[in-house]
Amino acid sequence: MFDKTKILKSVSWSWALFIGLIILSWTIIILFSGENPLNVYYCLLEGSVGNYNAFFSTLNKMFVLILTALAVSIPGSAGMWNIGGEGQFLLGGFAAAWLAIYFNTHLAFLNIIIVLSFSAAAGALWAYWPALLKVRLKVDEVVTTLMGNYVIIFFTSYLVNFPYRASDSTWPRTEYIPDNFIIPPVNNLPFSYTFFISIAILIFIEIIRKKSILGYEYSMVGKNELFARQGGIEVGKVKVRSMMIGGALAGLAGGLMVLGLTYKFMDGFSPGYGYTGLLIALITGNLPIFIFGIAFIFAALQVGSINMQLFTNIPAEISKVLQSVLVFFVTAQRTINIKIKKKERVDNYE
Amino acid sequence: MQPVINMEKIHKTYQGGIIALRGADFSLNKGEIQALVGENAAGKTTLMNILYGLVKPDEGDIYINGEKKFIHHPKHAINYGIGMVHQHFMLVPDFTVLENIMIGNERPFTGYAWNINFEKAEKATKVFLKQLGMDLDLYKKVNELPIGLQQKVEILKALFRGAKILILDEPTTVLAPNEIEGFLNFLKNLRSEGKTIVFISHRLKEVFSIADRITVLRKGKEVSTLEIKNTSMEDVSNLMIGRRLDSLKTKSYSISKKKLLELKKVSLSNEISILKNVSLNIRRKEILGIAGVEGNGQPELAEIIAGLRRNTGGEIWFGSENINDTSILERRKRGISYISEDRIEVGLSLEASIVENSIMSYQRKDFIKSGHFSLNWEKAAGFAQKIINEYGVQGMSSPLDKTASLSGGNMQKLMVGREFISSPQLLVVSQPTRGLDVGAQFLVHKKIVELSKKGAAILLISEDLDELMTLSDRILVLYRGKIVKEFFAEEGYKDKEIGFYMTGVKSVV
Amino acid sequence: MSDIIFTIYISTVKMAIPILFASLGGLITYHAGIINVAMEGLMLSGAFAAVVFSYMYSSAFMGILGAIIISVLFSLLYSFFVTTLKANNFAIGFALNIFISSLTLYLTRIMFKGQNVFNSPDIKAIPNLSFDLGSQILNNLFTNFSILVYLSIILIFVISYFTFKTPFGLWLRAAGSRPNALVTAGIKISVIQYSASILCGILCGLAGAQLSLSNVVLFSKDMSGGRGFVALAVILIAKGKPSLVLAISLLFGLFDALSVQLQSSYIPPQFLFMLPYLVTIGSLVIISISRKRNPFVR
Repeated sequence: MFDKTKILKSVSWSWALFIGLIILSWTIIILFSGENPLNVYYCLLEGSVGNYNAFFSTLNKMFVLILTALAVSIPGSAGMWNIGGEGQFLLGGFAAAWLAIYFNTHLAFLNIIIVLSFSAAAGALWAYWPALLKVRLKVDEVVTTLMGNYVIIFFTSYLVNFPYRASDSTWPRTEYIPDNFIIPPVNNLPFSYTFFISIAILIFIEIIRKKSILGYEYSMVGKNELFARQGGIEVGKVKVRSMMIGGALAGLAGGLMVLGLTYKFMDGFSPGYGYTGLLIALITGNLPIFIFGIAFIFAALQVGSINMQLFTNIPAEISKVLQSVLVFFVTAQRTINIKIKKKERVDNYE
Repeated sequence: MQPVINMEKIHKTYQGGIIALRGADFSLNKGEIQALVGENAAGKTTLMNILYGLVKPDEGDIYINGEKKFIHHPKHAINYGIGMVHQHFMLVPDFTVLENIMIGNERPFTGYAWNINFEKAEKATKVFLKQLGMDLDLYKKVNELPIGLQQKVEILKALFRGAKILILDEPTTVLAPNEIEGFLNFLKNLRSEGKTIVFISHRLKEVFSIADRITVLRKGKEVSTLEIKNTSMEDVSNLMIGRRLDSLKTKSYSISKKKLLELKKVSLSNEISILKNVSLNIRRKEILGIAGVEGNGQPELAEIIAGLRRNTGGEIWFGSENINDTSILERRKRGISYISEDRIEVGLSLEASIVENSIMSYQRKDFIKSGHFSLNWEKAAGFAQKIINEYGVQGMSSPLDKTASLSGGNMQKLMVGREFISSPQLLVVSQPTRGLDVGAQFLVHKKIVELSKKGAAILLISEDLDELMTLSDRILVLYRGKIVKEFFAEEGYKDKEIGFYMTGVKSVV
Repeated sequence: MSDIIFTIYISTVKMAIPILFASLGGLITYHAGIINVAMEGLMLSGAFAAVVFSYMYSSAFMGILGAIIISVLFSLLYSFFVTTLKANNFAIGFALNIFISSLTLYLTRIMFKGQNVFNSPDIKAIPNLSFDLGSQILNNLFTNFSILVYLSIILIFVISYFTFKTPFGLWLRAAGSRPNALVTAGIKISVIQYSASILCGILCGLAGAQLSLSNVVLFSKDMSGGRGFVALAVILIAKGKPSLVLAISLLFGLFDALSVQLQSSYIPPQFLFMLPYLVTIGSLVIISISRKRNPFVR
């Protein structure tokens, strides 16, 4: 009995410290702007969960983050770093817009599925070559995927500025996608079915990870390649496939973005969603379960800071700053947690 | 006369609840060679690591020349003249011998431009070498030296730092039989130079040839400290284990005529030749032992047969099939099982749970899966429990614990159990009893014989010549990648003779 | 024609130097066994601090000092999490990169009235060093570069000497190769890693200062433009050899320069901007292919 309460106390202490430090750091950063922190937090909360409208806007932003986070964590669990989510997202988005605009088959529901598959395929393809290079030639995938992002950012910028630019656009963008490709919003809320698609995928991935043979094999590759290999698992194939799945999800996110939110592709399509997804994956440690909760927090910060930008003179970009602070503390928390657990085990045996 | 080192009531418990030492005592007299013996996990290495400052004791005191001292870091131990040579060397492989010795000793040799004056260092080291009667090329890279010499470099490092007390942890495990005598003489030399030596070992023959006193540790406590002249190997063995073990009975069944594995002129080369025209065969119910000092191609041979490596020349036949191009998965499906000598990096995944480790290579079998795609974790846990029970894997609170929480010996049992339990057709096993105490070793040997009886062909690679000689029907000696000699059990094995071929004394390559 | 080549040459040197500085920093951490993926962020923080300090104190020297201080502070943060708390270095490195990227943009917009770029005549640029080498050609080729350019060349030699001839260099390389060897010698590995990190911070700060106070004189969002990762590629290709670091940095500098120079109405600018990144990928692939063919060539 006495031991149990001792442990509980130390656990709740570390949580309190953890949250306290995060709020403290956020507050310091906010103070730089000269604004009143309380006011700022209020605006953030009001803009993200303060009313129905805000809440559903937040939920609506989550689908991208969930998918780009999975785009990192699935290859991550097999030991591959997919930093190319940004590029795969952009490519998938443009692919969706392009196919919808120029190859409209007028096939109702099927349309959307075809286009989304195409987006996913585009993302998977862009993730394929860095994976292959790593497996065959040992080329570090962090550098290749990262460089690849820049290549796609410039490439899609070219596409939307020159050959595919809509003639009546003030800001470089493609034409709007035809109506029959739009993923509709739910009822009259600022919230579309894209949310449910991403949740479904998240649940599906989690089930596969825990219950399937494939999930076991991928997990073992991530934990010890040599061990998996001597057991007969084809490590190279697993690594390449995991990257392709990651790329497909990021590409799919891009497609969903076009069909469900922006209805076109434009310059500046991604304000860094790929990297935000990376941050989320880093926090959740490649475990899909927590992606939902963290994605919500991140989405809330993002949506809330738009409101905050209206009522204070703090730019919305602060949301990224706050998000990355969160990553620091969670990573530290995870390590410190382990140290506390170690100490406890020894104490209990005295 | 007062002991130069006195350790009293040392307690140490590692994370995960593993109690390494429970009130152990140890005393060391100046100028003696004292052996520290005990089974695996008896606490020998931990006790010495504490003396050397690598591990902090939970309780207990250390006295040096009667004064209580605190040793919290090897730096302190070095200041008190204590040096330690571990089983896994702490030399930088890419550095030269001289550079390795210099680490930590640079100050007297550093010039004004903060550069290391290697010539000066070389001169000083040569003087030192002469005193010890050693000869070494100081500018050779350490990873180009044979292991026996690498070990000498480690000892040299410690002595250079002024060590008067040397702790050696299982120093002879990496030496071939005829190198051991020379090494033991070297230690006697050091003793006559006034050094004090602690010799951790489980090889009683060696211990009895040089030690003055012997301390037996069992389950983390000192059981007895004796003068060598007052005891015998049998007595000490009893003290270590606490019981006598029956020796393994001789083989009562005959080997089949059918060859299961055949290697025809198998070669492996990669700029340098690792294996040259190796031809061998193993029949069902036969145990073929491969003897050789580390670094002569044994692990590569095992890997080639298991499929982890592709041979560059020659053919591998399994039954009537050429399996040169067969994948690892396919080989396992045909009943080829592989136990790597490296349980940490290859044989197990320390980060994964014990259950996850147990089902590796079985995850697609019907007794683990449900339906076509999913894994039945209940079946998996049951399978893991089977291995745990049959092979005596201990030290976990639940099979869902990470494998890293097991001790080395238990990890070995888990790995071995996993591969044995499927009754393979061909078992390729390397160092099966590494890290196991005498009781567990006996169990594994029993299982190997059982498997053989059932009809398996077994390739046994081991550094432990006794193990090879006990179990093998034939022993092949691998030297510099070639099979240089074949010995037969029915003719009686002579370890000195095998040793000569292992170290190239008699091999013509 | 020779004018264009000359302009490209000058540009190449200027563009190569930040990559060179960062790569030298990366070299030190490479030998210490703690490859630093946060060089991008460190460089960016240096660029930002350089502009701010130069503006506030009307001195380029203060700008350089500021860049070094801020970059080192972030390196210490990185080391604290990675070396002391033993967090995953990739995770912390990327988090730091994104943190610095968003923080610098946020601060720019707050400090300079909502703009994404900070540009002001009051920012003092790093002066160029003019001296006479005797002939016009030599003068054109080797003089009139920013002080930091000359510093970087000197540093190549200093760092080489440091890494291979001093006790600290010995410890550095041991830390990356077999840290155990240091424990028994009584040398704390964490001290070595912190030192390597701080040195990398100093060098990345200098890289940033060259970017924002010499190549151009302003700060803009994400102006490090992936160069920190190009430096990472340089380290992977050079495998710790200072001479190769110089050569490859110049190569990337060349393509960086070309991407500006080759702009014309025929080629859309985006394709030229892609060039340095494609070259980076290409070089890594080529090197990896050749390493596969000759694994034992050093």
